[in-house]
Amino acid sequence: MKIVNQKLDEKASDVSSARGTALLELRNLTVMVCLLAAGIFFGIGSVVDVLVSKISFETEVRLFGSMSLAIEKEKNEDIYIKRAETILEKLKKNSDIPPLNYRLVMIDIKEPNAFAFPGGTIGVTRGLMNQLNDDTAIAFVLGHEIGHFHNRDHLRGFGRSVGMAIAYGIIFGGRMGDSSIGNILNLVLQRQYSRQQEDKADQFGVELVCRAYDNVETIDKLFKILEEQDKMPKWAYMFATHPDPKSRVQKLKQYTKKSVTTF
Amino acid sequence: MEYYADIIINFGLPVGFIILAMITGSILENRHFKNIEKREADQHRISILTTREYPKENIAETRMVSGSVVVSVDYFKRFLASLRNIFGGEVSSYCSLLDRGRREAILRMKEQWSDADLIVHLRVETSSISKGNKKSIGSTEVLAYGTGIRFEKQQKL
Repeated sequence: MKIVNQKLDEKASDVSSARGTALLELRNLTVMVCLLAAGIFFGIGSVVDVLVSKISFETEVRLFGSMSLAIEKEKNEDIYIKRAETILEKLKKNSDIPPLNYRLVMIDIKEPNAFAFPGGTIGVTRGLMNQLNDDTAIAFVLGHEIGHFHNRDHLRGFGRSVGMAIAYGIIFGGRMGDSSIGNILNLVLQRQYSRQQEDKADQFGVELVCRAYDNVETIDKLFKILEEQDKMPKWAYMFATHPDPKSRVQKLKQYTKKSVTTF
Repeated sequence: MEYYADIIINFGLPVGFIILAMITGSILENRHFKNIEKREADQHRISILTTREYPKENIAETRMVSGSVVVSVDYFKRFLASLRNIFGGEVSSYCSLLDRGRREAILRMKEQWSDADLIVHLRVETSSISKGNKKSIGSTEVLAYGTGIRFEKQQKL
């Protein structure tokens, strides 16, 4: 029995080592994950859009009208709320406003912000109300949130976040590290979508204020306040759902010029 | 400030950790492969057979020889493998781990008795450490064993 012990060349000994393929693998997988995430995002987005278009305002009120928020106090006897309610009544005269059970809720947070909750509940933060001493500016904030109701953004946002949480949970959940990949992708995709919604809601708000007050100049003041409060660095807006106040004001000014002439 | 902290904790840390693991992992892996290649050349004298048949004349000594190693994959490769899990296909990021393990175990087996001339009936076994535990570290144990033979001086392969 003769045993021949031949030396393997480097290529033969490395045949199953897959050395140096990690970066290629990373590139391929990144492309695939991006495509998958985009597919899920747009897929769920269109399903939610179809579902939301089938929910009438009456159904929305029936489903969410009696919903109360955890942050809500028992009775809102706040003077700010009283003031905002009078402004809301004025805005409600406009026929474009969706027929919902509008309710104002004060949220005890320092940061100026406002939210639209399903069913017609508008939440405004104490920080925002403290800083706004002009009716037009408050009207714009409310108008902006009503714009979200009008465009069904709150329902879409709700549907999308539930759908996306389930989908990403199934696909990326339970695996180390890549849940954050899902988060980043979702954030970047969501950002563009959400900014479009914000722009539309801004436009709706401006139109409402124009019709109710014949004056939109004070809206500038609101954005100045936001701009002063704005501590986010410019680059961070890449990940933000809202556009930065400066570009928002610019867009609004352009839009206002166009729309004021048409009223 | 809070915003910075939020971004850094949620996105910066995991991404930074993956990049760090990628760099250190590839340095260590390359170093290991170079070491394996050098030792493979050094230990080349000892032949290995997987058969039970072997030259039965002039045997001076036989021994059981074994070598085992536990190797772990780096965070970056584990991350790649978990992404690969979604789509399926060859988990090439784990290939290098297993290749390193197999070659290292065989080398250690040879090094256990470096006077041997031949190792027959080689068997290689692989097992994963803390199998089934999701939080476990992704590491594998490779065991190589066989029968080592040393021939009388006059008979060399």
